[in-house]
Amino acid sequence: MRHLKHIIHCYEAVDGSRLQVLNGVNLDIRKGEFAAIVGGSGCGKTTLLNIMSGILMPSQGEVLLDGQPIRQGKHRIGYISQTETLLPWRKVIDNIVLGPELEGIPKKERYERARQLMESGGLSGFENKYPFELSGGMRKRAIILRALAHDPEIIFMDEPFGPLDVFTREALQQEILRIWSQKKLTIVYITHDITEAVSLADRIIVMSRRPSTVQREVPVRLSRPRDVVEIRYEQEFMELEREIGAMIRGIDPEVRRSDE
Amino acid sequence: MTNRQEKWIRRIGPFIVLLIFLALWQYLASSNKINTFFFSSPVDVLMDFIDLFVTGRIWLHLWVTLIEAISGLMIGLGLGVAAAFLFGNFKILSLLFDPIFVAVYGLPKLALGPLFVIWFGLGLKSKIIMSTLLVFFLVFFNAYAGFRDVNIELVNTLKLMGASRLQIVMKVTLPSCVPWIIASLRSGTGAAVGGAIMGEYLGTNRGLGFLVQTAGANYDITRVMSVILVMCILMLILDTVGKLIEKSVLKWRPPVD
Repeated sequence: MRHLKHIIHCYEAVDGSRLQVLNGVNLDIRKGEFAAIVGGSGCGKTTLLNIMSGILMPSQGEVLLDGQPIRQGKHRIGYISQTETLLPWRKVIDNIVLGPELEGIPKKERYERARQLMESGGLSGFENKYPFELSGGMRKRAIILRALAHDPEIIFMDEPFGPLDVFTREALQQEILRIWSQKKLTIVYITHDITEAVSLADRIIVMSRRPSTVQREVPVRLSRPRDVVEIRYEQEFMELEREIGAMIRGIDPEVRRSDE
Repeated sequence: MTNRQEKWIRRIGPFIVLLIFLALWQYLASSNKINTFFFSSPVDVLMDFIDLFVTGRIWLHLWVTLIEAISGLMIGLGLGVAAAFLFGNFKILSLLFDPIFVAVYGLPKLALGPLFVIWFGLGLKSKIIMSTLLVFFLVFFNAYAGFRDVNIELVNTLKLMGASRLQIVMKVTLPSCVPWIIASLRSGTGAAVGGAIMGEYLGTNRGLGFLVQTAGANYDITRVMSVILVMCILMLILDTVGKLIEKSVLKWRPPVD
């Protein structure tokens, strides 16, 4: 449904020089899939996400949504990054209603929706707290609920759980999988953590070094529903993880095996 | 120093220092070691202070100064925020006016006094304008810094959610400036009262500044000091109100300690 056609992007540095980040990316995101984009640091993952979501215009190429060029602010997009993006001066529930509020949905209706979401997302009782009164993991949950309240057609996640501790991260990964299958969402998930990518995604898009293109697309055929902790000990999981790791490190797995 | 000790010293220490100072002053005055014509004495000042209120003579002057200061504060606040907002949104304005503002800000405002008196007369207007001018720059520079400090991540988040430009201003830019504006409101209160009194010194027939001015001209040192005491108490009250406003408006921020 979302189709990226030969995206090229350059940044202009302060000194006037140009840095090419993306070099002809072609990519299709299918409705209802969980796609993960992985690559080494500085390979333009975040740039690609910003272009896909319409925050950033690419230097060349275009992004099509169901055949139409995307326009900023015209779509229901959820965006969850690694930074704290709750409005600190709003109580948690007032943050969650933000999307419907922007759309002009009546107050009673949007608060009703937010309350239901908070109930199912394990945040009931925290409606009237300010973000600073919550733990990092709970703030992340609130951000996810805010995205859901907007009833998004696609959710972009950019290393969303990066700064959290490992147990909180696992809990949130599991939560995301639950929400994704329950609400039949489309998720594009960026990470440099291969384990995370393999345990969550249907398909892994491996980016090459900068200026990057799509190096490989690897389908993940592990069964669902998945347990993000248990799945790591399956044979197939470990093989995939190793294969993708080798790709990113720039080593062909076949060559490495014959060396051993 | 333990926390307990620090707490007690914070609470009563300043009063003790003040009491020692007043006792020493009173002693020097009563024993004629200093000339009370020039230095008055705490008891005389206190008696005069009480007299001002008992006779009710102070109210008109206090009221006038308060009106001038609060008008100056409100107008200065409104204009300061509006100017900061325009500068933040229209780069051409900041390019044209930034250097001019900095130059005018550096100018001692008292120097403009005679012009205000000529243009706006000896009534309330010239005092309010002086007060406004002082408040304006404080608020403007603070609010401008606030606008430039807006978290771009929050702006992008709202953009992605489909917010219009106006919605971004109302729901992100303005709220995120509030702490800055509140900070300038508190220092602005001092500037507003200061500006009003400064304006009164330039010529008028009412207000706390006028009382000090006439008392000074008559070598009535006790009166000068008792009116200054009124000003101190006024500032204390206004600052407490400011603190309360700050506390209730900024309760979304984590406490500092």
